[in-house]
Amino acid sequence: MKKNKISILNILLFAILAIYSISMIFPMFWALITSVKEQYDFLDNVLGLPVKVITENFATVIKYFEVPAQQGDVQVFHGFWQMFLNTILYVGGCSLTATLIPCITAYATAKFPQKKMSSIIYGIVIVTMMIPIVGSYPAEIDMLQKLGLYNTLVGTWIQKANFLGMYFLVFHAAFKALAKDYSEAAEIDGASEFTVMTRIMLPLVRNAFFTVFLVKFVEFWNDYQMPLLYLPSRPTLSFGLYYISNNTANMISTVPMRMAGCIIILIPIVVIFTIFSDKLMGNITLGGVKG
Amino acid sequence: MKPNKKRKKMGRGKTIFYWSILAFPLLQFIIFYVGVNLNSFALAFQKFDYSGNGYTFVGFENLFQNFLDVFKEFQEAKYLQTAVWNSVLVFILGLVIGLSLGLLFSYYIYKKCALSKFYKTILFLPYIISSITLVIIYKYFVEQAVPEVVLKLFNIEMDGLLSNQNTEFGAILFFTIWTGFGVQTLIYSSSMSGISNEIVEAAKMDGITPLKEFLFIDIPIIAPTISVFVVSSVATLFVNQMNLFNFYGAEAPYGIYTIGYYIYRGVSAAGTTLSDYPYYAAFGLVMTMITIPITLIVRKVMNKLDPNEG
Repeated sequence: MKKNKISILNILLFAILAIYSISMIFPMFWALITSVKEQYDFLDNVLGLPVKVITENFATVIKYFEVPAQQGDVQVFHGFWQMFLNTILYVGGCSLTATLIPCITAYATAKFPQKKMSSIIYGIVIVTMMIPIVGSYPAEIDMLQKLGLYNTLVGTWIQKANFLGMYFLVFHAAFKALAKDYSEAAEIDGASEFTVMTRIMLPLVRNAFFTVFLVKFVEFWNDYQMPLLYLPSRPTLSFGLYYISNNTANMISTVPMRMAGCIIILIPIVVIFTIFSDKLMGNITLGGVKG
Repeated sequence: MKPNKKRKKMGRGKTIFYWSILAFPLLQFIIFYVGVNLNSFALAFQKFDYSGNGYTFVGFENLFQNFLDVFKEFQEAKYLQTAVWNSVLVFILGLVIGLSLGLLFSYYIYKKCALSKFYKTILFLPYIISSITLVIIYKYFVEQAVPEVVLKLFNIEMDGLLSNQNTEFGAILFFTIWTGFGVQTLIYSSSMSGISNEIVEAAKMDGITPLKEFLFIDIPIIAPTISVFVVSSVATLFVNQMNLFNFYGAEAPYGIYTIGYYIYRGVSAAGTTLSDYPYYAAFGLVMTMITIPITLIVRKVMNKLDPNEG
């Protein structure tokens, strides 16, 4: 092992990764120091440390962070806290349905492999992962409109409640790996199938469930393009950030203010990452298992 | 008879349970996957009727009108041809640079070399930070900070990398590859950690170098994982927006369009009307038809190259 660690390949990789790390950390650090500068300080001194640290930038961003949204025929403005609420409802609901549905579908197919539908569902998941669908947005919007679900929170939750994708395979593998003894003992004691699933089997995969939920939470928190298409009347914080970055006609269009906006959006995700980094970086690799 | 009856009864209960928990997922799949794709297909043969009838069939005499519009646009609009080329370029460079560096980084992490845990976290950062946040920071960094650094270090005045037409595409391409290592590095290093120690130790006793171990032991063993990654990357060939919407909203310069951006922009831009949807549905269908055989060919090639197959 020691020989490995001092090989030329490893030294070279160490150097490349060090450069990569600097290229990643330096812009972040620059954004952080810029976010506490005054505009004139920034214009005078783009790179250096702030003459005076201005934490009020964050309060100003929160106060003037506004995005217009069409609600019926009326245009309303969503402020920071309204967007925060929209984000929690959108991200929380979508993460829950996008985790729960693959989980229970995987449970049914893993528990009853003898059913023909189980192998059909497994096949559908594998095939759809390989089929590229390009540009189905118009049809999806049209479908949501026909169902009366377009531009509604419930609509986006249902839209994301699909069992397709690699997390179905993750849950399927997890349920397959569980010993049947627990569920069989409960069944002998007269527990119903529903009780076995909710009280015994699902708690046994809670780690995988929580990890997938976290991954989805990060994914939906960061995504602004889908809310822009399917939920235009309820802008999320990520969408708000996109909006202010492309709009100069407001109080917070200066570079320090925009950087402060970025830092505010980053905080919840950095907190989640700090607390759950092992879960996020450890168990996500389950997706690497070939289906 | 009794036990049989009991089994039959239990079987029915299980069957009811089975179908009741699958009912919603299957219905969702039928509506939002099968239905949407059928609708996408149907939309490609429809037009929007402003007299109140909504989408109506284009008629047999104009059956392929939307598709003809797509081909006409391809012929007349040079930027669409460039968009195809840009999409292919992003894919190839992303694959060549992203895959090779991603594999090397994974090897470093798998071997638990110096600071590997720290590097793993840094590589994963772009995955947890939203792309719009990263883009905003990067945009102002290359526009404001980089020219300042160059001026201070080399006394050379230069434009921001995104304001200069010659460096704009390269700067965005670099950003796309630069932020794309996270998940694949985790997946590969995880696959590598499954490699048996005995194989590696035996090879070491035979005097294998780290580079040879990487090339001739690690890569072949994790070939199935690489294959899945490559095939799924091909599937996104014409979906990749190269972060253009993040950088420019709907106002990206024509010369740097990708097909993924063209479609998303077309559907989401403020000026889009319901009458534009059939055109974009036809456009998506054409691109899907092109991507499916490419994906299948790449899959076949990857299977042939995989030393674990057959």
